[in-house]
Amino acid sequence: MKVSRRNLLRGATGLSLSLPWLEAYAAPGAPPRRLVTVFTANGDQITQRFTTRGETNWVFGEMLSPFEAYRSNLLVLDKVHKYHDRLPAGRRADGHEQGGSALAPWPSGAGSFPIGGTSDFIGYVEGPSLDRAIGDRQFNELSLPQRHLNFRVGDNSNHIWNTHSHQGPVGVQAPVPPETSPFTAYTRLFANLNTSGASALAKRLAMKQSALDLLSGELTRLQGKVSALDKARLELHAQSLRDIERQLEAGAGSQPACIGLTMPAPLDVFNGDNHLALGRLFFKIIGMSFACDLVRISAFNWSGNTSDRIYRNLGMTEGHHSISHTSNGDAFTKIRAVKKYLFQSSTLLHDELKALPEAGGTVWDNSLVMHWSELSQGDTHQIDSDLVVLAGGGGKYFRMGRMLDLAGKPKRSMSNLLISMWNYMGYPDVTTWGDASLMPDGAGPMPGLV
Amino acid sequence: MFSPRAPVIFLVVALLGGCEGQIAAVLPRPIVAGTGGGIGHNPGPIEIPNPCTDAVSVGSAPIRRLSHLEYGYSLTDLLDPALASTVRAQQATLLADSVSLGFNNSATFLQVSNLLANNYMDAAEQLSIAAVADLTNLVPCDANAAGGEAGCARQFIGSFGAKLYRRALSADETTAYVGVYDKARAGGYDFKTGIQWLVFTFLQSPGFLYRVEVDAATDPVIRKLTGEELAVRLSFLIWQSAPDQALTQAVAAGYLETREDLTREATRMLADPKADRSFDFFSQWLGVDSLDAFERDPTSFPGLNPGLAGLLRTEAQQYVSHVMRDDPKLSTLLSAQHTYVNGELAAHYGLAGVTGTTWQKATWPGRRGGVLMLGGVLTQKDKPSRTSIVRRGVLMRTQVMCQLVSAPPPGLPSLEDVAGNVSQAERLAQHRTDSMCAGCHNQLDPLGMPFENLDAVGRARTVDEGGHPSLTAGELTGLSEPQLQGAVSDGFDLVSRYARSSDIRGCFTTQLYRFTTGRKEEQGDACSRYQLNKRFAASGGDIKDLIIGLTQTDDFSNRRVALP
Repeated sequence: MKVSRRNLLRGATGLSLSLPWLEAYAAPGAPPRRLVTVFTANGDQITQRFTTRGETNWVFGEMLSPFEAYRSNLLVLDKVHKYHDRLPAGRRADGHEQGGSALAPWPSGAGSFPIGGTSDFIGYVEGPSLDRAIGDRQFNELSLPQRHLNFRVGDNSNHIWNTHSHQGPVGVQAPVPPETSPFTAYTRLFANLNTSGASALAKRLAMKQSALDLLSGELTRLQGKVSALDKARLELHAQSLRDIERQLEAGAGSQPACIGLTMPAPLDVFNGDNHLALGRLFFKIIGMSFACDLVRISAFNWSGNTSDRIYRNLGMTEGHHSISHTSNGDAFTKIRAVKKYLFQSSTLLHDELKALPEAGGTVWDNSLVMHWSELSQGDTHQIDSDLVVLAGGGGKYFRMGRMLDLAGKPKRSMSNLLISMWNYMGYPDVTTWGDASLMPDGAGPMPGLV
Repeated sequence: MFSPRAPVIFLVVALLGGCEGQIAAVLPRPIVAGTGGGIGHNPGPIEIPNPCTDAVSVGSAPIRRLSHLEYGYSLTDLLDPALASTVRAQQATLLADSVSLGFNNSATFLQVSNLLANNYMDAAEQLSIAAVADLTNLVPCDANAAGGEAGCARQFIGSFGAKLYRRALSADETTAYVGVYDKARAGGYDFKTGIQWLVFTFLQSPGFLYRVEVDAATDPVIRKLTGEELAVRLSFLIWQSAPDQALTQAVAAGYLETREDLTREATRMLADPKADRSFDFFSQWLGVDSLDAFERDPTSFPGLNPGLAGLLRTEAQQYVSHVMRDDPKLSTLLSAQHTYVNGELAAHYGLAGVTGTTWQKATWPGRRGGVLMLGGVLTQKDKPSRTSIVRRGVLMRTQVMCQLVSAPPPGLPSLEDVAGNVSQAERLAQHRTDSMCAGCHNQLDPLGMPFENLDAVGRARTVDEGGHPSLTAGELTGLSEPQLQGAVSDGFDLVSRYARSSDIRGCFTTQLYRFTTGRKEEQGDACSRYQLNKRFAASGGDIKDLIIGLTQTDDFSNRRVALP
């Protein structure tokens, strides 16, 4: 079925040629660039990533072999450093926690968790994550209907160990709990906008609009009666309602590839047996949301950090995190098998993006998938040798088809890489982002990528 | 899957000498020097000088969004009982909130994101459809009578609004709701649809979703709460829900003004079955709620009851509610030598003589007792195939003793495997010979080792997973009470010492204070907590009396005025 667009709100109002971020777009009318971060937990095995190293002639180890089929569209970054050890004591959590928050390159706050702080309860990071910060800017400047997509498979509880998205602003702990149900997400993004029968749809919209008017008015009045802190919290609520209003107005997109999905019967989203099926559904939703230009950035997580999921389908009896603590050969064999499986599963997203036609090519041509983890390797908990794999056409912004060994190179910080991502997404004005201590070689994008 | 409440991450291989000495400088009271370094502090009141002065002192009282539990309980209590299952189903669709201090009702982190606002909207749509299916139970008037439909709608706004907002609506608010109804009618929809739109809106309204105490510019710096405000605090304290009719009537009659009034109402409310909801506190405090993620390896535990997690949750619920009803002492909670089982759980534990589906009291045959030794508490953070001494130790150290576990310093080396076929306890003992590990593992392992005679599904055992004898010697450190410190022979010895400890009593008070106030303790409420602890001690550790005590503090009855 075709999803009809209810009006042409954005595009008409969102573009102004004088704005600097437009410079990064290849050409007027070119499809927009997109980014998906894909998280897999517990690091990998640093020495087993490649059997041959070399910028163009590298050979993947078995663990990374699922990526081989996408070779010409890869930029493989070996030994990215997170530098969280540079954060002041008391402002950093341990590697799993702080490393899992690496998309939000800010110090941790205090006050919530008894494990991992130094002299006080550790808290959530105090600043926005990449997906949310870029998404907010696009939401404001391009009038996109959604700020970001924020998905995780599993865990009906949100805490410092499985929260990757943060709203900010800098200096404020504001974790954004992810959506765990692709069914709810699909309804929210698509089906609510396209119910059977125009009159039923009109009735529901009228009811929602009428309620939103009252709710917004009441929130505004309440904000005038409470403390500044409470007012700020109510403002988040008010903003959420304004977002809904825009989402109801915007409807789904009119792009040729923007068609509805066929969702299967609902699955239990907290049943581990559905892990892969849920991931696939999220990938379909991400792809279609991109094709419809509802949103251009998404964070996807196969699990929280430290995931102790048991990969029974791989014949395992111990949890992933438990295995990752052990340094012997048998444990590493299992870790490589888990990671290979997760990388293989993650390439389903590549294929979803490749299947969506756009401007003579596919959505994949104008997207990047950033595969990352909270740690370099589990047994040592190190954060100085991370593997980051960028995959996709990426609108030809980065020079793909390469493997870069960053050991000893300047600006190999994850934070420098995040600045590269800002630039890629059309914001060359972003030259520094994140806490300065996380970029010991200085701010700016990671060298050698473009 | 990884479980959320006491997420033990790096501890098995990675703790540090680094934590030694970091704490004492900044925390109010360093723990008594133990065998290793110091981790954490004890927030108990024992050595804290009396912080009270003549002036009334209070902590902060931010607005509080309803937790999802409070949302569900409120609607269960306020709506037609026939809608209870719809309420539960819709409550389950709400996006989980960010946890803080082990609880999911933190005033700071209960925010309304775009996703949650969508959830609220979808839930309100489903609930409003169900609510208007039978208007006779919902609308307090006849739309065909003299006042007509418009008059009846206005009456409905007044009565339903007062329930949902937990106060009478203002004239402006009423006008706004009349506007919602009018819009529906102007759109050509019928009376029933107009009522549905109203319910839909009420269920998402700030007046329902937030507990707000509004101050006036003329208020003093610290003001006494009104009866209406006290009623809301009281009902959410004890029932996690809105005031009932009796409480509302007490307010209207001026009988919720004094501390005696609060005691009277609190006592009445604690006798109501709704008081069983206090289990939510115990469940989150001790991680029973993370049994959702309970997963055990079928090879290691063949023939396990597939519903075990649910059975263990019910056991904990039964145990806590019986303690609260029969003998609500903290010492009883921590060390009573019985549990509650049905036939299935009795078979799992190997307890003879219990069959059928009825839950009944059963005495533990060996040295076992208390809430901490229940299967659903002790084992929920264990590994899929074995016990975790470290995680059990963390539960004791952080949740029961209110102490902190530090982050490891950067750059920990990889640890070699311990050679040979040794038990988990021996392997940890070897790790503790490494100074990098000893500082913190000395604080954790000796609190987990005493439980080694209970396996990872809560059953008694004499040999561990590797066939080694289950040794239960441990050590209790970090208390301010020398007579309770030192070597412990087994888990029951440890929990029996906890049951006698004033430090543990202080920790329990702190945990309950955090849960009921939705925030961390503050200097401003130090006097209230001090008096609460004194009361708790004087009652011999009576938890019900402690809950009543929570209504008697300055912090409960007053608020610091917070103007825009």
